[in-house]
Amino acid sequence: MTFQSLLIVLAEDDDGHATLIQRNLKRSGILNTIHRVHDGQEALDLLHGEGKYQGQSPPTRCLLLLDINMPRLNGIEVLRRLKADSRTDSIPVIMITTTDSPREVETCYRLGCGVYITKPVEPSLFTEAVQRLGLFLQIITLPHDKGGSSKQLEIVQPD
Amino acid sequence: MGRNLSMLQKGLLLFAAPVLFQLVFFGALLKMERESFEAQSAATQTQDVITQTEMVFRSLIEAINSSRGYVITGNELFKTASRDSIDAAEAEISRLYTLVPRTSERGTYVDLIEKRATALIHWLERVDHLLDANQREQAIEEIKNLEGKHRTDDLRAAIDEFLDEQRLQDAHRRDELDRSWRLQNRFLISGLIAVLGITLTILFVFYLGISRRLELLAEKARLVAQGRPLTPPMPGTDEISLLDQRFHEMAKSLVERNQENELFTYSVSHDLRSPLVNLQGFSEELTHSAEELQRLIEGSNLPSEAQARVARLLRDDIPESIHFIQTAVARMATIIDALLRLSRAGRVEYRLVNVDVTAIVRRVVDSLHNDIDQHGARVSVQELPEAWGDATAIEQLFANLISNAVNYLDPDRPGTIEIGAIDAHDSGTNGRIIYYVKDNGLGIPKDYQSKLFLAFQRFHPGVSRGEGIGLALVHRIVNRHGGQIWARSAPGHGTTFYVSLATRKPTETPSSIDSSISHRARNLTHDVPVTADRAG
Repeated sequence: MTFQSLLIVLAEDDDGHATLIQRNLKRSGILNTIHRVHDGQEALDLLHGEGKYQGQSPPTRCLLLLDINMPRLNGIEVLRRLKADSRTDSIPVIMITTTDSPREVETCYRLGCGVYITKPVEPSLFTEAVQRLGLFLQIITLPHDKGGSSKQLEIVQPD
Repeated sequence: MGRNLSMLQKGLLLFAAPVLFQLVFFGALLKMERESFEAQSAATQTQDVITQTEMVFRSLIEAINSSRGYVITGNELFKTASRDSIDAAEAEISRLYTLVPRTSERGTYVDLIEKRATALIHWLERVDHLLDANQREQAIEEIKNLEGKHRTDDLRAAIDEFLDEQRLQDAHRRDELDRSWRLQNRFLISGLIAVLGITLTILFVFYLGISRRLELLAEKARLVAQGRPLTPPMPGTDEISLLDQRFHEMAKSLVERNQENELFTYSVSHDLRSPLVNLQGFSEELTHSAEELQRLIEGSNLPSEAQARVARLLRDDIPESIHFIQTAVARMATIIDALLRLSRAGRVEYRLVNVDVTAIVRRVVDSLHNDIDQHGARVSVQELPEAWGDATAIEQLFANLISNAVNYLDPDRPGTIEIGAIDAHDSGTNGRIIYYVKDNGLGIPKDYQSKLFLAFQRFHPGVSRGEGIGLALVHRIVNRHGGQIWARSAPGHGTTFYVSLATRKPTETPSSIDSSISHRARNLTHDVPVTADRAG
């Protein structure tokens, strides 16, 4: 069985938060490429191959890290649109946000996000989240034993 | 009726009733006085008439006697005396006519008297004439025959008839006067009673209208002070109803202002979280970078003195700086968290159900078992009746109270905590239950007891961590449930918190003005991360 590496798409408007997340993921040994977009609209454009990404074919396999509080289009709205579109409804989504308001959580789960993490993003929580997603969406973390002391992982999906 | 008259109208009405009575009373008094006066003068007049009539008779008798004397003695003096008496009688008759007008009813009686008197006088004069004409024998004959007596008797009869008539009239008049007096007396007394009755009734109606409504208004003020919903507005159009309307408006604006405050607090706290993430995250990053630098320096070719200095920077100074930054950031995070939680307590919508309080309390005690064991405390949970409220909020309530009890135990003696309810069996009576959480811990000094439920005040700093909003949170929750919370404490002996909640759905929902007034107070809480607060 061959696997395809997932592109991690990070939709986050705050540069500081984005940097922290990327560093944390790297530090926990995740090898996947991380592509950063700055708000919800950009995320949708990327995934549909429209707007700013007109002409580029959308990534076939990706994992979406979605912040909720973004300008123009917030995370919840992006989630709703993704799940309403058959082209994108099977993309695994992890919501990340500062708030833990129960109502927001409920809305997200109702809309079909896989997992919900609060910032700051602890690497262990992240891998746990990915693993939980894996149960539903057939993504797994493949350890890369490069002989080094640090553990390295890659998130993949079967073809 | 009492509600729609202005205070002025009410006052006038109350005033009018007795005044009216007094007017009537004086009127009656005046009438009685006038009647009495009239009766008096009538009586006097009657007396005069009687006297006058008798005088007529007496004069004529004197005339007769004088005439007889003249006949017997022939002395001129008797003749003169007789003449004088006759003149006197005539004068008295005229005077009688002044007292009793000829034209009146009684006038006819007097006419008869006059006629008879005149007849008698004529007879007397005839006798006198006979004597003057020296016809003594005829004169004596005249006296001997009964003519004189007859005429005298006739006169007497006429007089008696007249006097009887007078006395009859007199008696009549007195009877009438009596009756009139008695009637008026009765009228006055019943009038007095009626006015008293009316005044009392009006007073009572106005008591209902004024005193009782003012009491209701005072009660509303108390409800506002306690942050509870108000009773419905009062109907009516008078000054008190107006005051009541204004009061409701004021309470509403208070509520709105408080809600705005809470909203503000919430949005500010919410917005602060984002920079907080960066602060926490990058101070962590600095630590990582310093660690990596340290590793690189160790494996490098720097001269040892420089290496030592760099090592010291990387090992001591920089981490220490970062540590202080992180501590401060952590403190900020807890404060913001607490603010959010407090403002959320006022904003989140409640789902009201019958809450199994026993189950909730047992669950809370369970979740605290580590802390409880650590303090070596004993916790007992009594029979707790169901309460009507929001399950999550009530769990937060007990979680805060119980964890406070655990964390503020006295290290010098074995701790006991008891959670129970007063009148557990009488819950049906007035629909309220008083739960209590009792400990034998450090207690709260008297000075701080009044400020217990204000936010951000820690009474026993150093005893446990927490930002100090637990009791403020609890107070907010209790208020929103329409209940009450209070504490009894003796420093060095322990504290008992009492919470009163509704035990079943209230049959009538009061106007839902949820006036939340946040105070600033001291408290002793340890902020427990209750399950309800964790999302997801």
